[in-house]
Formats: sequence, C-alpha cells, structure tokens
Amino acid sequence: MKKYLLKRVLYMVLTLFLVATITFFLMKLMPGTPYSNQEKMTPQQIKIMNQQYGLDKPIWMQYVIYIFGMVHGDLGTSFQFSNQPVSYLISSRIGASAQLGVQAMLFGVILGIIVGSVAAIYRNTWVDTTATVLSIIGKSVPNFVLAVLLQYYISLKLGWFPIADWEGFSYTILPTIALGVGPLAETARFIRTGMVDVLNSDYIELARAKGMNKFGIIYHHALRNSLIPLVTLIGPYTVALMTGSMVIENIFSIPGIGEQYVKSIQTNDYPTIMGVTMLFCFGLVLIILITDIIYGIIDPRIRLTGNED
Amino acid sequence: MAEEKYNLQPDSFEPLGHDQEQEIESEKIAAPSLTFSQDAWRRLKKNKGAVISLFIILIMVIVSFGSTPFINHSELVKSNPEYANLPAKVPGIDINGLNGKMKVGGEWTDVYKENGIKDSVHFTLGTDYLGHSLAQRIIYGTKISLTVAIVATLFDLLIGVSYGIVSGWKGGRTDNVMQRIIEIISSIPNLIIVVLMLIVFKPGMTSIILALAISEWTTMARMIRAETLSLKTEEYVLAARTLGESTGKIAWKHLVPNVSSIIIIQTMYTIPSAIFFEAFLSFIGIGISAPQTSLGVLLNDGQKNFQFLPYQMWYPAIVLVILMIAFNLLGDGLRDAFDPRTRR
Amino acid sequence: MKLKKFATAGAVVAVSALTLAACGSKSSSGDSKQVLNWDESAELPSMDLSKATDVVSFNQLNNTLEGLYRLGKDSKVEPGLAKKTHVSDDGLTYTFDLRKSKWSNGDDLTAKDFVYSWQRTVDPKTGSQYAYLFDGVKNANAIMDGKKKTSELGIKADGDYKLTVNLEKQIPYFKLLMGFPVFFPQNEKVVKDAGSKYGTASKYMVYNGPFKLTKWTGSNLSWSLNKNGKYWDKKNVKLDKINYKVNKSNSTSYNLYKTDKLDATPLSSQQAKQLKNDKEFLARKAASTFYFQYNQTQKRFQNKKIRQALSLAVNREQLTKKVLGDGSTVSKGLVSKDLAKNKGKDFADQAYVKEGVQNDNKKAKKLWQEGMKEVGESKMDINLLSDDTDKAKDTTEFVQSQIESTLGDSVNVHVQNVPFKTRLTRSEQGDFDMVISAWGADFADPISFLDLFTSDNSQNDGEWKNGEYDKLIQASKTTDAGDADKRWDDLVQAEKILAQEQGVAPLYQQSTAWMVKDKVKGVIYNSSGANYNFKDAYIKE
Repeated sequence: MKKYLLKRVLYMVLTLFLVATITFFLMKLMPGTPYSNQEKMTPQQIKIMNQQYGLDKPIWMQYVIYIFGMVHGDLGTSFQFSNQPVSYLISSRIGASAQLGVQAMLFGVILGIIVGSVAAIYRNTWVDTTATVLSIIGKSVPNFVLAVLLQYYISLKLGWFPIADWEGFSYTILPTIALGVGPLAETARFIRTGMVDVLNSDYIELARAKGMNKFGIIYHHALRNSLIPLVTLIGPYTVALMTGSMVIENIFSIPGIGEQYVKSIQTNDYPTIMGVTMLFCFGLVLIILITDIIYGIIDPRIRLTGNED
Repeated sequence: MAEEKYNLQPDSFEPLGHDQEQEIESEKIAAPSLTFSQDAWRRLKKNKGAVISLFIILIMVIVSFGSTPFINHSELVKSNPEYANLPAKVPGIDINGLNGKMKVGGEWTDVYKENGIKDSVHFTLGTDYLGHSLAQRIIYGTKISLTVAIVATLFDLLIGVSYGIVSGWKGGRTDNVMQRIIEIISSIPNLIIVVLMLIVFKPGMTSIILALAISEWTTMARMIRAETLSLKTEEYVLAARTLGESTGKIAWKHLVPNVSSIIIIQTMYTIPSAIFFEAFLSFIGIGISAPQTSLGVLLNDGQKNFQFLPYQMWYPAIVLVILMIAFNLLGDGLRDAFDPRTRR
Repeated sequence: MKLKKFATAGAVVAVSALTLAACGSKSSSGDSKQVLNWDESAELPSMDLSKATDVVSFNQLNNTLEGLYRLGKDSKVEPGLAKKTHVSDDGLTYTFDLRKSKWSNGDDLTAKDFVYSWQRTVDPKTGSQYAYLFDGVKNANAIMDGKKKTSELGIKADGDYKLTVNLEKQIPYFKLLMGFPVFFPQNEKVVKDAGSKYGTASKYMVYNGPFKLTKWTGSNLSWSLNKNGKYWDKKNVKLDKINYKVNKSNSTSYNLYKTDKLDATPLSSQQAKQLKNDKEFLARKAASTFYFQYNQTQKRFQNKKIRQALSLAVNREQLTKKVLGDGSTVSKGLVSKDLAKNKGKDFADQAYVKEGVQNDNKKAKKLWQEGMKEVGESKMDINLLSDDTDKAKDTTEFVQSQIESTLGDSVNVHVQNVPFKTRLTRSEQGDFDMVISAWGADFADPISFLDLFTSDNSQNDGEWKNGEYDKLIQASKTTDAGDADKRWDDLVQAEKILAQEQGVAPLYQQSTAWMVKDKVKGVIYNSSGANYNFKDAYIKE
C-alpha cells in the first residue's frame, strides 16, 4: 500500500511537471505582450516593464523561474489585472467554484442513484422507459442551453429563484441543477445497468427465496454492489464539472474560476491561463488518486499493490 | 481375448435406414448458421429504439451531406440583412409560430408584414441575424458538426486501436511505459488540451478535429488493450503464433475483428461527445469561424437571443438533441446486440 | 423504506429553498432611495490611475477622484480642484490656484499631490500605458525615454495651493486633458504604504472625488461607490450609493433589468434591434470609429483602386442598421461626429468626403477589375483580421459576405477573429492583409484621431504614407497651433486627403445600446475620455 501510494504520488508530480512545461512553452509561442497600448509606450518604458515581468531573460531562465515559483505557490502576475498575483486571483475565486462543483456532484450523484434504482426495480415498465428517455435527454442538452432555459423560465417567468449572482443558497440552486444534470443522467444509466445485473444474479435469487423483502434486497445487496463502481466515475465527472463551470458561471454571473479562465483566454492573460490550467490539472490528478484509494478500500477484490493490472 | 468378447457381426455395420435418418434430422440445427456480425445484426433489428435511431442518423447524414452541392461557399457568404430575424413561415400552415408570426411584447405580430416582405418570400424555419435561412444553416451546421465528430472519432480510433493493440500485445516493459503515458494524458482535463491547442493554433475545423482526437483516444486505447490481453492467450492466437504468422497479420486477422464490437460501440459514444464538445468550444468563443457554422455555433448565437427570438435556439437545439439521443440509443442497441449478456 | 425518506427530505429542501428565494427577491427592490444599480460587462482590473488602461477603470477613477477640472455634459470643462486658472500669453505656462480640500482619509490635498502623481506616471519604472498623453508637458517625453529625471517634469508646486505647469508647445486641448484621470492627483503616502498592492483593492485606496469605492477585492464581480463625505462639493452629490454588478452575458443582465435588479444595462446588437422602440432605450454614441487598414507594405494594397473597391463594396447602411443595430452610425470620416465643433460646425461634416465611405457596387467592380489588372493578379486571397467579440464577429461575417458577393469569384476573404491583444500585436507586426481597427478619442479634439496616420506613427499599422498629410498635421501642431481657425482648416484638409486616398476606410462610428430606467436622471455621458460622470445623477421617484 505504501509503495503503491508513493508510486502514485510520483506519477502525479511527473504529470503536473509535464503539463507545466508544455503549457509554459505553448504560451511562449503565443503572440502578445502584457501591454494593451504598446504602440504608445516608449522603448525605455517597455524595457523596464519587461524587466518587471521577467520577460527580458532568456526563455529557459524564465522557465526555471516559473517552475521554481510554482513549487512555492507563486504563479506570476496577471497581465490583465495590474499587480495582481495569479495565486490571489485563483484563491479569491476558488470558493464559489468549489461550492458549485460539490453541490452539482452531490445533486447529480444522489438523484442519479435514486432515479437509476427506481428504473432498475421497475425495469421494463413505463417507469424505466421514462427514466431512460429523460436521462438520455439530460445527457443530450448542452448545459448552456439548459442554463438559459432555467434562467428564463424558472427565474424570470416564474420568479422562483434569483436570476444571477452569488449571495446565498437560493442563488446556487439553478446553477447546481444546470451543472448537475449531466452527472445525474450518467449516474442514473450507470446505476440502472449495474443493478439490473445484480438483481438477476444467483445470490439475489437466493435472498429472495429465503424470503427477504424487496427493499431489503435492494438496500443490502443490489445498491451496495452497484455503488462501488460508481466511484470510478467521479474522475470523469470532475472533468465535466470543470468544463461546465466555464459556461454556467458565465451565464449566472458567478465569481468562479471557470469564468476567470474563459476571460483570461479572451484577454491573452497568459500567466492566469497557465495558473488555472495547473489548478484544474492538480484538482483532477488529486481526485483520481483519492477515488482509486477509496475504490481499493471499499472493493476488497482490488488490491492496492505496486503493480496493478 | 477381448475381440472375442465383443463378437462383432458384419451386419452391425450396415448403413442406416430411412427411419433412423429421421431421428438424426431432429438433432440438426434448423436455423442457418450465423456469423457473429449477422447474429448481432439480427439482435439489433429487434431493438426498435436502435433501429429508429439508425434511420434518423442515416437520414440526417444523407440530408446534411447531400446538401453539399446546394449549400456551397458562395451560398454561405450571401447575406440578406433585409430578411434578418424573421420567424418561421410555412405556406399553408396557420399555426402561430409557423405562419410568420412571433410574440412581440406579448402580442402575436406578423413580422413578415411588419418588415414589408413580399408574400412570396418565406423561410421554413425563419432566418438569422444576417438573413440566412435558418433551415439551411441548420443543415449545413449538422454537416459540419457531424464531420468534426466523425473525423475526430476516426483519428481517435486509429490512435486508440493501434496504441491499445501494441501495448497489449507487446506486454512487459513496453506495456508498462505505454500505460504510464496514458495515465498521464488522461489526468489532464481534455478541455485543457483542446483549449491550449486552439489558443496556439488558428481556430478552425482542422484544429478542433485534431484537438478532439488528441484528447479523446485514451479510453479507446485502454479498452482495446484489455481485450488484446485476454485474446493473446486464446488458443487460436497461440496456434497462429506457433505456425509462425507475422505479428502484423495476427493483429489484422485475429485481433482487429475480435475487438471490432468494442470499436463500434465506443465510436457510437465518442461521436456524440465530440459534437457536444464542439458546441462547448463555440460557447467560449473558439469554435468554427464564419462563414462556416455548426450546431454549436447556431446554439450559441441562439441562446444570446433567447428572450426575443426563441426559435433561433429551439430549432438547432431540437436537431442537436435528436441527433444525440439517436447516437446514444444506437450505441446502447449495439452494445446489447454485440454482448447478449447485457440484454435483459 | 430508506428510499422514501430520501425523497421527502429532498422535497423539504426544495420547498424551503423556494421560500428563501421568495423572501430574497422581495427585500432588495423596495427601499431604493438614492441608490443606483449599474451593470458592467467586465471586471475592474485596476484602480491605479497611472496604470489603468481600460474603460471600466477610467470610469471608476473619474467618479472617485477629481483633477483640476471635471468634464460635464458634452465634455464641457467644469470647475474641479482648480479655483482659478491663469494662462500665459504664449500659452505655455498654466498657473492654477487650488481650492482647499481633503482626501477621504482626512489628509489635506495639496499641489504636491499633483506633482507626485504626474511624476509617477511619466516615470518609465511605473510603466504607464497612458503616459503618452503627457506629450507636450515640458520634458515629459525625455523622462519617459529615460533621458531625464522625473523631477525635471514641467510641473511645480508653489506652496500648498498653487500649481504651475510648463509646456514645451501649445496644447490647444490642455484643459480637456486635465479632466482625464491620468492627470488626477495621488496621495504619495498611501501609494508608498500600499506598495505593490496599490490600486489592487478598495482598502488600499484613498479618494477625493464624489464617491468612495468599497467592496472591491480586485477580482470580484461586484463593488459599490458610496458618497464621499470629504468631497469638497458634497452638497451637490445626490446619490448615496452606486452598486456595480458585472454580468458577462447580456441576456443575464437584461433579465436582471427586467426584474428591477439593475437600473441600467448595455444590450447586445440582437437585443438592441428588438428593443429600439422602447422608451427606455438609449444609444450612447462613443467617439470611436471602426475602420479598415490595408497592409500597404503589400504591393496589391498600394494600389488605390483596390483599396477603393474593397471599401465601396461594403454597404455601411446595412451594417449599422441591420447587422449591428445598436445605434451605431455610418462614419462620415475617420473623426467621429459630435466630437469637436468650430464656429458651430461639426468637424465630421466639414471633412466629409462622400466616396470615402460610400457603397457603390458598380463602381467597386469596375475599380476592382482595373486594379487587378494594374497589379497583375487574377485572384486574391485576403485575410481579414479582427477582434473576437460578438460584434466584431458579426461585422467580419457581413463584410466578408459583402466583398465576396460584390466583387465575385476573384476574391476570397478569410476571416480571422482573435483576442484583442493578439489583434494589436499582429497589427503592429504587420501580420495581416486587412484589419478592422478601432480608435476611440482620448479627448474631444480631431487630432486624437488624425495623429494616428502620420507616416511615422506607430499606430499606422498599414503604413500608409502621404507627405502632404504629414505636413498639414505638423502645421496644426506648430505654426498654426495658436490660431484656432487655421488649425481647424489644416485638420479638415488632412482628413479629406486621408479619405480621398483611402489610406484607411472608415466603416462606422460605434454606439452602445443601453436600457436605462426612467427614474435615473442626470447621468453625464461623454463620448470621449472617461465616459461616465455620476456626480449630478439622482433617482427620481
């Protein structure tokens, strides 16, 4: 276990290092400077400014400085917000994104389990069909379309929830739904398939034969066994939520990281692009590691050893 | 000795009479023998949802790609601002929303009349802000979305399948290294790969296709590798090896056909996710550029305008959702057809 | 039975959320006294007046700080901190008597604060991107070039309340400049205490204007301007508070406007087209012009006929009315309309050259064919570079369509929509065939536009060169600088040459469409410089 963990952490660091390197050199390939008014600046001004941004040094040195800084939590200074460290931009905005992400994940997974189980119990009835069709539709509607629809019909027309902004729990509900529907649909389908498998297996037949009641069977056997593989989906969900957050935060005016990322792309704010890229990557790597460990713990069939496969 | 014990008479070896032959007949397999794919096809045909989906996809492909001679470059760049933002009008149908009327400030108003447009002019699905026919845009957009998705998926397939087979077949050190590479790539969020590539390269169809292909192939490679690992130990593969078949030939003759079901199913799931991703890219402003369009671009233009011209979002959204549902249902159908165990 | 419990728990959460939401939406709209809720479409990136580069920053600076003058309606110079101004006969020395006033932290505001601020801005170490506006102030250019010390700048404090400014050359629009935030004072102590944090959050700032900035953390999407109790003219400030909200989606901000959460919101072109007859609709004309630049280092674009043909092919009437639809108007020339007047006549009207901005497909075709023959080409591929905003994309798509359908198969336009800074860099490096550029006047004088296209100007990306044009611009700055009429004629002549030669092809003058509630009164909007002045604004119930 220890050896396995060590190995995994090592790969994690290697991954992050590679991403940092690639991102750094890609950004260096890009045209553009921190200045939006360069034509009007004197050569002297530009020279001094380049020194302040560290852009006067050779690229390999900038690279070393960047990597060194990153290890110490320094991601450079934003081009867009003058004098603002990227690490500050990220830390001041990560809260909203994290909350939204966690809520959407919980909403999607919990509701998905419920819908999936119900569909499996009443399999091949109209309940099942409805659940299947709904979950496919849920998977098929781009979340920006869903967000616009929710905002227009639920907030503007019905007035049930605030239209936009981030000032309390009621503000989080629509964004959570818009973001969580994807995972919900996926989970429902996943749970249904898993449960149908289990429900048809011999030991369930046995439990049934022994007179165990329907819900007891579902709770004790079916649900537990089909929940375990769900852990492996948390990684892909995280990716989907990161992608979705860029869209949802924009539409609901949420001060989050995803929205910041889009903005930094649109304004050529390279240090911020790099910083957020690293953050997303770190988040995903960490979550994959954690889910793998959890998976190993809850499913005794998988051994956490040095050489899996 | 023993021979004496079983004292066989010559007549024991007489040919069977007609009566006995009948008995054997009953043991015979009545149905014609089916190959694996024929069998899968038979099962697929039984799945109504999948068959309908298949037809829908075929129709969409035929219509969108068949439109190529009619919707060409010069047709795309033509603009008629005097026809801008007209709602749907289908001659002969008088249902609000399809007769050139639109709700303006709560009242149904005939927008065509208001703009002084001749009676002979009508657009089945309305027009966009430059006066392009929305129906035409949607057909063209579907074509571009499908092209992006299909080509990206083909690349994805090519990389994924060959990577998976090599990794699984070689095993040992090579496999180990190749697996670590996959692990690293798949722990980078795909959107980041795509976004970075599109920032660096000129946004456009080629970049999007490449970016999608590069970020999506790992799942395919993993599945193919797992399958290859188990096929490697099958007797017929061992036999082929012993007989000195070249590795390439074994891969082509034995491995690829056996993983084809995985390939097909995986393809069915990759295409819709590529369509989806393309739509997302156009939302953040790095999608397909004018005069080309895609379902994603149309949706994004439509959502900005939803309060006033809801039809501009609804129509492309409906097309996209139908397409996505069709691919998903067909994917499910194929999965069940290829692997009867999952079918209940 | 766990399943059922789950379901009811979910329902309770949903119901309580509903009631919560209902309470939330009621409270905020009722008690609006003198509170204005304003939409902004981008974050506030900096409050350091030496470093600010964008509209949002300049607007906040203009309302929280004050300089020698404040620009009122139609860029009229109104009294600010300067009580009395004396100009020497040669127009090179300005002496200001300052009124006694205080910073929001209680410090006295003195002439030294101006001296410090100006020196800080022109100091190359500060990296001010707007320091070029100091051109003409004694030694400013030399200091920016690192050739002189900042203390040699032509500004001096005589005691606490007398300020003297020395110029190298006459600046006819000097008073207008003094209303632009780059020339406002800064409190040295505060700047030094905050160090690199200065201008990055409201807590590191002090103010001397009508309002104080609060609740701004440097990257958040909302902030407020509260009435400044230490402002010298506070009795004339009526608003208690302005709440800013950043919404990047126009649909979202319009939805908020509809539900009275916002009192003003900008509109996208599509929204503007739908709302143009609404009584709350407002088209705010900006002093900014969008124009084609042709890369004249390429032989084909040195041909005047080619340039003319491309410009004549574009129907600007349709572009502004049907495509943009936000109140933008067809340009009469490079200099925007309603920017500057002489003897009651608008500059844009006087310098109007019809064929410079006309649409004439027949003539376009003819000139195109002739031009193609002259440059010896039969087919042309043109990359059209522009920004990646919605409006820029709409514009390029339309222009592409117009050029290709007018000029036929012999031209292929490839659209390239890139982020703003990428567009600037590529323009500067000459990495384009045609580019749609935009320029907004920093102050209300035609020279703010016309300066761009002298042969050696760094913003003349297409490198159009015309000796006569250069001479006229030079004359307006030197020999004719003191004579308003002569200077005016020079500039009119210059613009006419630019239009006749098609050095650049003006497309449209930008407007931004807004919805503003009826109850909002007295907001001053100027088309150039810092756009908004809320000093006199109020809410009428």
